[in-house]
This record gives sequence, structure tokens and C-alpha cells, in this order.
Amino acid sequence: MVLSRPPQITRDLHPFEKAFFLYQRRLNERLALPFTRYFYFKKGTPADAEWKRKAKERLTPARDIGIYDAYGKEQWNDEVLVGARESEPEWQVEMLVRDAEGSGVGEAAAGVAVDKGEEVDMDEGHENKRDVGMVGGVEQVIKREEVERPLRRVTEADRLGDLKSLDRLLHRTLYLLVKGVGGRWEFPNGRLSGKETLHQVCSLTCMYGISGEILTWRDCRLRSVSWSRLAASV
Amino acid sequence: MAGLQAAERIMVQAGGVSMNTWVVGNAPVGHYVYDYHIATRNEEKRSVELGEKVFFMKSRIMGGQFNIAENKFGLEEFKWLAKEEIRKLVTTKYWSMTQDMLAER
Repeated sequence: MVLSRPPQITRDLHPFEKAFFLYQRRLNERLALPFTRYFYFKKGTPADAEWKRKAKERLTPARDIGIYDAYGKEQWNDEVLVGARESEPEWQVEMLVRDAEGSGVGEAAAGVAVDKGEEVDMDEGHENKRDVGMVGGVEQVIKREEVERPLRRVTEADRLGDLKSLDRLLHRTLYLLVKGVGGRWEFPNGRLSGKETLHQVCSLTCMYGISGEILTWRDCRLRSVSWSRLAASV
Repeated sequence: MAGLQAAERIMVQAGGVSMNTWVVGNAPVGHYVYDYHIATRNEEKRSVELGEKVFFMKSRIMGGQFNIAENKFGLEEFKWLAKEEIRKLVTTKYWSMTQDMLAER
């Protein structure tokens, strides 16, 4: 019997696929209608100001394509160098999480020195980190929320090489192999006992209403445990 | 139908009850035929056994883990392996008869 654990995550992307997908995303920015900010963010609200600040750093509303201006003079320059981090799904996920947190791409790129001071914000009810960053000579206080990062694709079991773990190789199917008495590795198996084929006989005798066996009729269809009792009576 | 019930029974007997498994369909997905080196005599049924035909049923594990502690087949060890890792462990003949029923990914 082949007991298998199906893949839990999608397969890893080929480098060509990563490059292609990044290209398609950047192309989309050039071809699609511009993002309608006023539909989603009301003018003058803090959310609007936040969005504008972040979008200004990346020159584009899209969060996972890096710094790329689709409408400016540099719109032709959508290619990245070989091995650029923008292609990698991990980098894209990191950018999305950073965007949710409140820090932008620009900070990481410019290497702004941030002075981390922790403060508990009583209004929100959860801890927020407040970073004081020097941006362009003017001091700006940037609030940062802790956002949980997604789980890694390569698990603990992968690194340790734990062959008994079901968390290893999440993108592959895992099959169970057992070491039998002879020392051979094989799929788990056992002998077919004659009782399994008594299923039809079971239901026949039950229908004729053998007294004392009526209780077992309901178990007939489920497991082989009660069959041995019926087999003994038959 | 018989094979499905046998598979369920074997699963519980080999790995314990703390596995959430499901046998897919009534038909087997592969088979392995081999002859014994020495024909053995089965006293219970008064017959001579020349070999074995093993039929494999496909089943999935959705949760839990395989518990080898109280198994009824005298199993010593177990491993969860991907397809190419299985090839390294089993005999050539076993591999040639069972590799086509395993998924590549």
C-alpha cells in the first residue's frame, strides 16, 4: 500500500519563470490604467498620506516590482540585471510585508540610519516601534507595526535532514517506506486474509436477522473487527 | 473492495491509529510479482506457496504521523522519502515494477 503525503506548497520557480513574471508585472504597470488613489484613500486622511509617502519612494503604486517609474522618462528601462533580487519571490514577499509594516523601499535602499526606540502605543493597544529617521535632513518619525512574516518554504526538517518528518520537502510528494523483517525496504504491505471477502456473506446473514447478531450489522460496513465475530458464527 | 478494506486494516496494524488517512478508490495502482527462492509450505491451508503478488492501493495521509512502536508486522524502521530517494533504497526489480505508480513531483 502506497501511503503518500501530497505536496503542501507549489514548486520552486525556474529562473526563467521568475524573470518572466517580473517582466510581466512591470509591463502591466505601463499598460494598465494608473492606480486611482482617490477611490481607495480619502483625501487628507493619514492612510492617504502614508500611501503617498511609500509610493513616492518606489515611484510606482505596485509593491513588488522594485523602484520603477512606468510613466516617466525611464520607463524603457524595465530590465534588471542577472541575479537581481527583484525577481526572487522571497524578496517580493519581504517587500509586501515591509509595506504592511510601514517602512518603505526607499529607507532600505538609501541605508537611512534609524534610531530604534520602543514605545507602547496606548491607543492601538499593541506595541509599535517608532523609528526616528533622518530623511533629507529633516527628522521624520515613522511608526512601524510588527507584521508576522509568512512561514519559510524550507523547514527545520529540511535543514536537519530528518527522514521521519512529514514536514520535509514540502513541494514534493513523500512516500512511506518501511523496513521489513528481511531487512528489505518496501512499501507497507500485509497478507489479504480470507475474511475481507466475506463482506457479501456478512450482509446476507444480517438480513435474515440472526438473533444476537443484529448489533454487529451496523459495524459490518466499517472495520474488520466485528467481521471475525460473524465469521465465527458463519 | 476487498483490497480497500485490506489496505485500511494493514495501515492501522502497521502504523497505529493516530494517522488521518484515506484510501483513494477501490482499484490498485500497481502490482509487484515475484517468486520465492524456495517454495514454502503453508500448513494451515495445506498448500505450497511459490511466490507472491502484491497489489498496491493508493492512499493519502492528511494528518498525524506513522507510529511504528506497536506494529504487527515486525517492522523496524520507517522513512518518508521522495521518489528519487526511494530508488536508492529498494532493489532494482522492485523499483522497476513500482516506479511508474509514483508521482514525479
